[in-house]
Amino acid sequence: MSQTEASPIVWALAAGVLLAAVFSLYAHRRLAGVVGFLVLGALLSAYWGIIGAPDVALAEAAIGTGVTSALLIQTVAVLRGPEAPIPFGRIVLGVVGGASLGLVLGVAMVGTAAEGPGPLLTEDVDANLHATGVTHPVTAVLLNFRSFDTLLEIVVLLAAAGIALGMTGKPTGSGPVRRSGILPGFVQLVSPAVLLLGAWLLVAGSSRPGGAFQSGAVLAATLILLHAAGVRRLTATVVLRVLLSAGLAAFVVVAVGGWVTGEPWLWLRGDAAGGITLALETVLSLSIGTTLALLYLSLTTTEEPGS
Amino acid sequence: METLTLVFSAVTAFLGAGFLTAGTLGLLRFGDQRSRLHALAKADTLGLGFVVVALLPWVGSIGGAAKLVLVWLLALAAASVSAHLLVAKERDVAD
Repeated sequence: MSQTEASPIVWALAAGVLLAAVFSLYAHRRLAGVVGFLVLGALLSAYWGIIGAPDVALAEAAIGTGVTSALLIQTVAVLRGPEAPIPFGRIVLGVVGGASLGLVLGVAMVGTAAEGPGPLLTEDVDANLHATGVTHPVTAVLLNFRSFDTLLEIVVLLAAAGIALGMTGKPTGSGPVRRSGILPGFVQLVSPAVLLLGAWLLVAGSSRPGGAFQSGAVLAATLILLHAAGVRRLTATVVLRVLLSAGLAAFVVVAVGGWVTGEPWLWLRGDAAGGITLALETVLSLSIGTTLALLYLSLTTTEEPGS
Repeated sequence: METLTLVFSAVTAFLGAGFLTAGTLGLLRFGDQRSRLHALAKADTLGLGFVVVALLPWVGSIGGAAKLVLVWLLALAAASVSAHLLVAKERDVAD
């Protein structure tokens, strides 16, 4: 159910997104700003969903709203400086500047759209979809037609994980693991269901919105929940490091596999393409999940790294 | 029959919106932390429940309806756990 016309609900969501953005930037207290960011992410993923981009909506909800908000809240919890309200002149300048930039961009977009649509790549994708082994065009583009971009994204994630590892010191609050109480009990009850949801998102990515990034974010959410509730402490063990690098390693293996069969690098066609894509997505989702969880973990440790 | 279902869904959806608004009003206007938690956990969950009931006739399959009810049950559990955490934190701070 996607709206291509600008119906009232689309306008309402867009206005809500803008208001939430202004609020989260200029709120008096940091925590209020972070909660405003959470609301912004929720409204934004609803907006993506309603204009017909469910994959972006899922990714926004899982990574942009879920994991990033957890990181922001953890950051606010350790910041100690005073919270001074932002001067009103700066707020006005920011809102007016943002609105004029948005207006200029909007007018430019409407002007170019009036000239008619350019070359549509959707036809090329639909024509070649059958050779990729997956039936969802977004997954085919991400992991087959344009897999080089995804490969570079995984490299960036690994670099971020390396930096986070360097900043992860001794874990604070590493007391005995609590297994009784309302929060740990609830988390223990719900984590298998959340993991199942992540696994479903992974497998569903071949035929409908889903895929490695969304499933990885759900895995990260489970790990963060388990760590924050005290049920199972996350530590930078060897297993974690192996999982972090496994995604890139698997991707390079698949890429080189194209060479081995006499085709170009990153070439992925044939009967096994669907199975190889799913296997690659599984390893990628493990890597993405552990990277995002490690980013959270690095914020919960003491200042002295390298232990 | 179709219009009756539409009217039923509209009425229950409006009721749900009313409860959700009442919950938000309570969150903003109640003076005590615990009263605010009552508004948040109870009124918001009830509002969500009414919205789910409004959607149930249009789902078209038992599985889909069960999923909607499951979403509401999980929201109920999450709201209860959040309310408990907020009170526990306040109690720890007060001690």
